[in-house]
Parts: sequence; structure tokens; C-alpha cells
Amino acid sequence: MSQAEVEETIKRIQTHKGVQGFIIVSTEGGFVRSTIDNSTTMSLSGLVKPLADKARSAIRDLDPQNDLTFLRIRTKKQEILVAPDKDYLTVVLQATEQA
Amino acid sequence: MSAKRTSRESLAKSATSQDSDSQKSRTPINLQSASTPPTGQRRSGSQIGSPLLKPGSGMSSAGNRDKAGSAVGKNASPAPAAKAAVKAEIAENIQYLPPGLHTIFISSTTQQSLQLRVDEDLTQESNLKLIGKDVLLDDIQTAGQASSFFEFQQQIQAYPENEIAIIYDYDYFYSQNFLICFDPKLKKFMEMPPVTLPLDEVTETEQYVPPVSKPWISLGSEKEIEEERLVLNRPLKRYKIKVPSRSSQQKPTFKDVDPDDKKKMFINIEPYEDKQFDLKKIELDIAIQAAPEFRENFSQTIWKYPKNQWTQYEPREYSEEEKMKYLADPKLINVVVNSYDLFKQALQQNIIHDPFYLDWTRLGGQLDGLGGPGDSHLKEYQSFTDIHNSKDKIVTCVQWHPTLRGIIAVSLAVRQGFDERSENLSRITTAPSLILIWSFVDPIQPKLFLEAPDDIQCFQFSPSEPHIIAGGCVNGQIVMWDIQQYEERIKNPRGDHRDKDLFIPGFEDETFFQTPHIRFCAVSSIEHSHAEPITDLQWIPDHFQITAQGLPTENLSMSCSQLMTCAFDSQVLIWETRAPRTGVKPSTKKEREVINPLGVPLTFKHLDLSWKPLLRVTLANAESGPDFAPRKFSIREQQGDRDVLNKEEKDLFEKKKDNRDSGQFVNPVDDALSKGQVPSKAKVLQNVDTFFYVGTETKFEDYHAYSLTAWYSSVVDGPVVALKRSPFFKDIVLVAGGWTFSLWREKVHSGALLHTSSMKEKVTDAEWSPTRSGVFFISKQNGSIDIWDVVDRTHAPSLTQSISSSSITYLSIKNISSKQQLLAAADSNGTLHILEVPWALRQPVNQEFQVVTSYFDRETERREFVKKRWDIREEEKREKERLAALKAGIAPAHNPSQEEIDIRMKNEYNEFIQFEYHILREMGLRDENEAPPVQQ
Repeated sequence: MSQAEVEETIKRIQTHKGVQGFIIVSTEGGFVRSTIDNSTTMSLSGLVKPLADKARSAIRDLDPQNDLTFLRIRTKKQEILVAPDKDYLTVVLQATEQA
Repeated sequence: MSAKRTSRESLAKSATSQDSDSQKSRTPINLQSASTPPTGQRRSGSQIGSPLLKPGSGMSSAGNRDKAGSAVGKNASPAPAAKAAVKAEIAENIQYLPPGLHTIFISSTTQQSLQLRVDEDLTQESNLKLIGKDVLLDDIQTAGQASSFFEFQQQIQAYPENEIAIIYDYDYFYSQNFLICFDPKLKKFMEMPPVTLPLDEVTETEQYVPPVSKPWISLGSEKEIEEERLVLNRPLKRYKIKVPSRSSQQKPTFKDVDPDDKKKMFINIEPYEDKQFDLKKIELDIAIQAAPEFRENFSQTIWKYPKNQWTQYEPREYSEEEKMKYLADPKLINVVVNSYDLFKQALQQNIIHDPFYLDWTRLGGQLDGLGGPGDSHLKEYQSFTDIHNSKDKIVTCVQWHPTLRGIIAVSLAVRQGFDERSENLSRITTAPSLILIWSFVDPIQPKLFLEAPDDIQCFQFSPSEPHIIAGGCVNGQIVMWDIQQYEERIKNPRGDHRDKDLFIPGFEDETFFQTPHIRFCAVSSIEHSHAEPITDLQWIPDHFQITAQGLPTENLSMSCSQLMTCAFDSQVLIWETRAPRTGVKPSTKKEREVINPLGVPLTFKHLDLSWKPLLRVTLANAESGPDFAPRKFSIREQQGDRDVLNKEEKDLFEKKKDNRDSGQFVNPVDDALSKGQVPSKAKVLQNVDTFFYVGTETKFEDYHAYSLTAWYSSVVDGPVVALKRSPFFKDIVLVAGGWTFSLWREKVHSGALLHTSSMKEKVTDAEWSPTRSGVFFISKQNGSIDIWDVVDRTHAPSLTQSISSSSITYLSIKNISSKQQLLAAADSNGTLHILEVPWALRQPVNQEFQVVTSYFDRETERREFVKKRWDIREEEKREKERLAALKAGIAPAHNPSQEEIDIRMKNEYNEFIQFEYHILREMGLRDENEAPPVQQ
């Protein structure tokens, strides 16, 4: 496990069709690694993080033994895929197929 | 009477007792005022004081004296002695008269003349009379010394006032029967005597004198009382006497009695209900009043004043070192690597199968709710009709303003047939033929009236200079208008005639509110114009022009200057609007004023009445037959379509533009005409197709400019009414006429791509949709519009809608915006209907263009196939005939070769020659010896 592996993963994700960006967000809400422009990353990480936290708390409230593993937000233009973890949050943006 | 008497008594008393001055002043009052009531005190006084009179008067009592007095007044004195006594007393009385009062005797005649008659004019009660001074003086004058007033002449004259008071002395108290008063004060006093006396009496009677006890004086009565008194000398004795009662001592004895005993020892009183007191409570009035509880409440709110505040923030961002630190975090690496599978799954899922794909939303494009694809009917948007000018007129042409939105022009013509028109030709009509220019903001009043010399059949705005309008008249002339100076008026969104704010009240310019009538500024020369009504007119697109030789050349000015017209006289004319090079000199301002009395713009002054066509194309029939009467024509080039230029000489054009910019004056006409010398400047446009289609009364023709008919075909069963090119396919022409219409493709002469069967109603006009390549509108005589959609179906209209009760005469469509498309349909009642084209007929369906293109290609192929089949059929037919002939034995069994045919024909010829020879010989025209000529 090394830093190179992270880069390798990012590359592999980006090879998928329609993938627009990949972001790693830390628990504090700041982003650690992003493949898209700074301002979008900033607003995205600042807004998606609380959303994921809220979703996780909702799941935990329903069943304390359960946990959130993945969050997919489908929008008109893109799909926001969120993989929350204890310490970090990974976000992938994928463009939805336009008519 | 008694009161009066007493007053006299008091008078007498005062006279005798020589009272004080105040008493003296009272006397005259008593004299004349009978109503003055004497006081009781006085009366008693006079009674008490009556003995005082005794020494003076010698009369025993006042009553006697009164009697005597009254006797004297009546001059009936019973006793002379008494009379004398009275006289003496009276004489005494005179001296008590107050100064200014004099006794006077007035004779009965004088009394009569002065109306002082005793007991008639004057009585004892009302004894005062005022006589005028002059009356008295007159009396003195007439009667002289005999006048009663003679002795007072001096006083009368000296008297300051006008009237003198005469007092009647009823009982001769002062010796004469009258008294005369020479004191004005006294007179006034007598006229208005003060009434004060009753007050005195009131005050005295009201005085209360408390009784004063007097010391008791014994007269022996107390002794009698003493005797009557009872005095107890021993104590009183008391006795009690009681009568003994028997019953009180007897004891009652009770015994039991049988209730059933025969002897009724008791009375049984049974209880019963007394009907008399049987009252039922039936109705009860109860009233309840609810009183609201009254409360007072207070609450105080805190007012927070608004404050502007700013916060500036910056998102937290990790520094590069921190990022590196985090990235090196094995936890992070773990997370990322682990999350990959999740992401992969999701991403691939989205690619392989989109779970959120909604078939419904992808169906039929955007659904706009109501008025969306489902609603496919034309909606009436507005309609225009002028009360005065549209009456009994038909609309001949409708044109949208090329640049201004919501402006539409309508030409009106009299609803007359040819015969009626020629009958009325000699009559002068007062109403001018008009083109009305309407604005959508004012559906009541047109914005402008364009006056024409005769009814306009067709007109068009110049595409490059929209203020110029060219029209074709019924009489064959071309008319030009220039509305440049009225452009503001057209643009003004508010109705001008309501724009009263512009004027001070009272200073309104009436003409401002009226719709202006604009005179045409040029009309073509009658000799060189069409000889028949002009049926179609078009501006030649601005990118090319036609030379006098009929060659299309590039138009360097890039503005429309040429017109193309056609008329029933089987001619198509091309007109040039620009002034020729050797044109008229520019007239001076003065001249302009002189020759321009109607204020017509001088734009086309050089053309007026002398305008000749540039090019004349006569549609002579190739075969001998009737001439064609063109009704519509169609040219391939369209305004704004610069493909031809772009393809061929874009660079060249740019160069020329530069030339012009650099100030070099290039007259485009010259250029075009002298193109031979300067070929580089205006090149003949090879790509411009100069073929044009002409729709005639019966035929549909293809013409080359300045050449003979290239091809013609009878395609519709009546006069062609519309010849329109598709805005999408330059070579597709929609031909409508009679009861049918058809779609033709250029160069495909074998037949129409689409040909409808005859309809029930005559077709009046046709129009392509500007946005949908497969849609076109066909108007019919019954006032309905057919909407055809070749994408939908080709055997029948996809929609038929009735618009007007009368025949629709003209259709014109305009794309106002991406969301609005308006179809103008004019009818033969002079009304213009503006219809909104629904979404479904406006918005092209998916890949419509490709679908329609393939449809036309397919049809073209079909036509080619049909043509091929025709050839095959022809061949087959020939073959069939030959076989039939063979069967009959006429023709040889085998196919004759060319040689055989020649031999056979030669034989036939020889037979003929021999036959001819025999006949001639029989007639003796040939020598018998002459051998018959036989060709070998």
C-alpha cells in the first residue's frame, strides 16, 4: 500500500465512461486530493460532506448496528457517487447520459 | 266708578289740605288716568281725613260732593244753592292747576270741527286728544275773537311741538269743560303715564309684622279655672273583678267510635282535583343575555433595528504539506483502494443499465403541458378589418413587414369580376384603392393607408429596404411607395390616435390622429407596362441581378433593386428601380417643391410615368396554340440565401467590398452592363439558376430567362393559384390550382412527386411552413385550411380547419419568434385573420428533415422508375402489336431485317409506280409504248 496505489485507483476510476472527477475529502471537510477545479471541489466537498454525515446519522438512528456504505445522488446532469468512511470521504462525479 | 270717585276725593283733599309738591304733581295724573287704582291706605286716609274737608267745602261727605259735581257736569243742577257752592269750590281748584295747563271752554261747534265732541270723540275715560297746532291757528284765523283759542294765540304760536294736547274735563273740576296743555313735558307725561302705583301696594301687603306678645292682665278668669280643677287628696283604689268560667274547668272525654257506625259521627272530606285551578305551564319566556367578558391586554414587543452586516469567509484548505501528509496516510490509501470496488460497481451499472432511465420523458420531446404536442389546431390570434375600407372588398395580397414585428400589410380590391370591372371602368370611383398597414397593437385603426392608382393585385416589401413597397396593379402598372418618413409611426407601439398626451388640451392636431394616406411615389409608364392585370410580383434577391441580356450577375450593391412581374399578357417583365447612369440631374430644392405638390417622397422620381422594364420575357407557345397567361412564377434564388455567392466568389466579393470601402465609386449597374470589359468586377454567376417556373391559367412551365419554354406540363385542373418553393428544398415546388395541388421537383419532368386527387373545394392558396420541412398549408374556397404533413400521411390532410365563412384568398406565414409562428389568412370579405400555428405544426419532429428528404428522394426514384417503366411499357406495347399482327398473318413470321424492309418498301413503291402508269396510259396522258419506269 503506497501513495502510488492511490494514484493508480484514481486513474482506473477515471477510465470509466462519463467520469468527470474524483475527490477525497477529509473528516474536517477540507479536500485532500481532487482532479477537478478548485472552486467546484471546494463547494462540493463543503456541501457533500454534511449530507453524507446526515445520511449516515439517519441510517444509524434507524438501526445502530447498521452503517452507510455508499451514497448515490442522481441529478439531471450528473450522478454524485459518495463512498463515506470513518476518516475520509471519496466522491466521484459521473455525467448522466443526456437524451 | 267708585275708584274714579275716590281719585276725585283725593284730588279734593290735596287741594284743601295743601299737600306737598309731589302730591301736586300727582294730581294731573289722577285727572286723566282713570285706570290708576287708588291705594287702600289713601282711601282709608281720605275716609279718615274726610272731616278735614268740612271747613273748606262745607259738604258733609265726599259722596255728596261727588253727586253735586256730576250734577254740575251734566248742567242739570237740582239745587241752585248747591251749584253756587260748587262753583266757588271749582274756581278755587284752578289755582292748583300745574303751570302750562289752562282751562278752556270749547263750544260745541268748535268741538265738532276739531272732532272733540264730548261723549263721542272724548269720554270720561279717554279724555286726551292731540290737535295740530296749525288746526288751532286756523280756527283762530277764521273765527277771530270768537274762537275758543283766541286768548291762547300767543302760547299756541310759541308752542315748540306740532301737536297740542287738549284734555276733556269731564266734571268741570277746573271750571271749564277742557284743559289745554302748553307744556311739552306735561304732554308727554300724559301720553305715557308711568304706572308705578301698584308696586307700592304690593310692597306693603307683603310686609310681615311678627306678633308681639303682650303682658297678661288678670281680670278674674284664673279664679274660675282654679275652681274647676280636680285635686287628689287620697291615693286611688284598685279592684280586680273576675267572672268564673265553667268550660275551662271541664275535662274533655274521648271515646272510640266505629267508622262503619250507622250514625255518622264524622264527616269524611275526600281530596279531589279542582279543575278550576288546573293550570298547565305551556309557554315560558326566558331570556338570556350573554355579556362579553372585557379584558385589556398589553404586550410589548422588542424592535430590532435592521443593520447591515458583512461576513467574509474563505473555505479552509489544506496546504500542500498537509495534503501530502494526508495522502501518505495509510488509512486514506486503504479507503481509496477499498472504495474502488464500490465505485466500479456503480459506474458500470450506470453504463450497462441506467436504472433511472424514464422512457416516458424521452418520448415526444418536451411536454409543454397544455398547448403542447396534443394541441394541433390553429388558434385565432387576432383579426383585422377596417370598417370603412374593407367593406365589399377582397384581400388580394398579404405581406408581413420583413423587419418590424407585428406589422402586416393587406391589399384590398373591389370584389368585381372582369365584366363588372370593365363596365365600371368609365366611372370614377371616389374611394382610392388602398393597401392597409396594420399593427398588432391596434386592431381598430390601420397604421397607414397606401393609395394606389388602381386596385393592387400583388405587392411586396423590398427585402433589403423595408420602407419601399412595390405593387402590381390591375391595369398592368407597377406602383412604388416609400414609407420611410412614416416608419416611426409604424414602430410606435402605442396607438397614435390615443396618444393625446402629446398635445396641450385645445391644441390637438386633428390630422395627427388620423391615419395618413400615402400617395405612391412612382408608377410605371402605361405603354411599357403589362397590358393585363399583374398577377405576381417579386423582388429579385439582393445577391444577384439580371442584365439586359438575361444573364444573372452579381449584385454589388447588395440591395434589392430589381423586380420581376408577370401578367396575363403572357409576359414576364424584369424592372430596374435604380436610376440609369445618364439619368435626370438631381433637381434643386425649389424644383422639387414645385414638382412635388403632394409631398411624395422623391425616391423614385426618376421612374415616375417613364419607367420601362429592363427585360421582357414573352411566353410564346412553342406549338401553335393559345398563349399562356401566367399567374404565378417562382425563381430558385431566395432572399438571404447567399450560397451561390459563397461558393463561387466569396473572396472576390470581399475584395470588392474593400474596394468600395476605400472610396472607389462603383455603379453596380454600370458594372453589370460593362461586365465584358471588366470581368473581374462583376462576374456572371454560373451557379445561379435562371430557370423559373410560371404557373399559367392551365399549365405549369419551366422557363429559362430570356429563352423559350424549356418544358411545360399541365398539372392542375384549373388556373394555378400558388407556386411556392419549399424553404428547405430549393428544388421542390408546390403547385396549387383548380381543385388539386402537387409537389414537383426541378428537372424531374415525368410527373409530380405528390399529386392529390381532386378536392371538393377549389384551392385558393398554398404556403409552406417555414420551420417544418414536411408541412404546408392549403387554403380553400369554403374558408377552410388544410394542413398537410408528409411525415404524417400523404394521402389526406392531417388536419382541416375552418377559418372563415367566406373564401380564403391569401395565405402568408411568419415566424415571429421561436415560440410563436403566425399564419395570416385573408378572406374575400376583406378580413385578415391572424392564426397562431400550434406547437406541433411549428416544432420539427425528430429528424424531420432527413425523413422528408428521404421521402422526396424516394419519390424522385419512383418517378425515374415510372419513366423507365414507361419505356418498357412502350416496348412491350410495340411487341404486343407486332405479335398481334403476326397472328393475323399480315406481318412475316420472322423479324424483318432492315434489308428486308427496304426490299419490301421498294416493291411497294414499284407497285405504286406501275399502278400510276396504267392510269395515266388509260387517260391518254402517257405514251403506250413508253416502258413503265421501274426502279431496281
